[in-house]
Amino acid sequence: MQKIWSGTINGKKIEKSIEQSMTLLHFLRDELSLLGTKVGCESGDCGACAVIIDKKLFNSCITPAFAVAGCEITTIEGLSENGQLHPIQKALLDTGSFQCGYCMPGMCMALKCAMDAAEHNLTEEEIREAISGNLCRCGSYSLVVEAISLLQEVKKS
Amino acid sequence: MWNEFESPQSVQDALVILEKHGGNARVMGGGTDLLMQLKSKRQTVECLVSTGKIASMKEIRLEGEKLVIGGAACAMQVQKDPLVRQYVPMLAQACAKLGAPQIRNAATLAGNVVTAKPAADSAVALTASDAVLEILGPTPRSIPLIDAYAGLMQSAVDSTKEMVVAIEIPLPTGRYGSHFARIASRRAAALPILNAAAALCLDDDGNITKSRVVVGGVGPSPQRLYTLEDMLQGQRGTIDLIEQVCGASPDHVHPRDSIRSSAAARKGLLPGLLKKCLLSSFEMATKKEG
Ligand code: FES
Ligand code: FES
Repeated sequence: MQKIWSGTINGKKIEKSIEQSMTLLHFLRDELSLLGTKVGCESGDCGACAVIIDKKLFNSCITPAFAVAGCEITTIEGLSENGQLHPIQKALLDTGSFQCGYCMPGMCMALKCAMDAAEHNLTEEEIREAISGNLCRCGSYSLVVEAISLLQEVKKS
Repeated sequence: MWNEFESPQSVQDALVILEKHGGNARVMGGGTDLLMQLKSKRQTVECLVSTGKIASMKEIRLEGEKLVIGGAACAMQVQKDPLVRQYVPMLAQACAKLGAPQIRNAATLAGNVVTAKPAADSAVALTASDAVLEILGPTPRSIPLIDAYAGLMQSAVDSTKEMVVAIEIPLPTGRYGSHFARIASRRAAALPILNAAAALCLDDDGNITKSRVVVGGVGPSPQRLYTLEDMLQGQRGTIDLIEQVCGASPDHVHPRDSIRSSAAARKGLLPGLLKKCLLSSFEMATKKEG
């Protein structure tokens, strides 16, 4: 059965009639054509579909769209500003973290969430914890750690 | 699958919706387990009733001699809560080990119990805390956590008509220490092979007045190892005693072979895991003044 979903996605107010049985992942991709959020396991295990909802990280594949109606949602499409890559995206690119790139939208959201929430620079342990729910089948983990460590150093100086 | 989705703002409204659907609606906490079950089409419900917008079910507060945790509090909230960390450190530790950050932001404490996984991390710590589930529905009732399991992956709570509004934990007395630990194939996002929680209360002379030893992964639900608790209770707390108790532990569990581990490996791992829990609890308790 359809119902009106309203909320904010990447800073834009959205109102749309959708099936109540829809997950947030399919709402974003199939109804709003926001294809940056990836479909992986669809069982909450890989983090490819991770998005930020009211400043917290969630896997959109196991989140019913209506559970987050009225919330503020940020997807990978909402990360860049004025056509410029977000510093996190840039750092990941510079270190060669993107292999196939499939996990990276989720990784970026997890990293942004953790960096925004912390008042200090993340330690290696904290970076690894932040992406502990994001599987990278290309094994970029240590490159991701390197990227964020470098980014934080640059920011400090 | 589910056809309708409701996010009521009060427990009362939620119960009305459940009743209206006459057994074809289901309460949803974070949905991390439930959604997978429903998506695999093994189950269909008419309506999902989310507890996510019920503010009163997210509170964590002291009430007399009890710590009351709302059923809709998520693992991340419990893990960070100062009251939980002060009074029931093992529960904060267990919540911190659950899944990954994005799972902990969604998964609720009540959900972790009602989903009835044999080795749910928070349920093991809650069992060792003597937690009691406060259930509202057609017949409001309270059940101790240890009785919350009706069988393998089966809860005693019927989520088509009732809900766990809160989980109550009696505040520990005297010199108290507790600890949770787990063994899993990797650190994040993996169900444990074994997990355990221990709690010890000491009197001023260093005698153990109360002990709890709970293990997950050796049965259909968290198991209290009563014989080991009795070996500790009433005795003077020493490292020797703890080692002796841990050494005896494999004789008191009956694990099975599963995809995660063989029964023999589980028995072999148990003494070391329990030692970690009991020694940390003991150390914490001896440091604390009564
Ligand atoms: S697609 Fe959502 S966690 Fe894998
Ligand atoms: S870069 Fe290929 S999955 Fe991570």
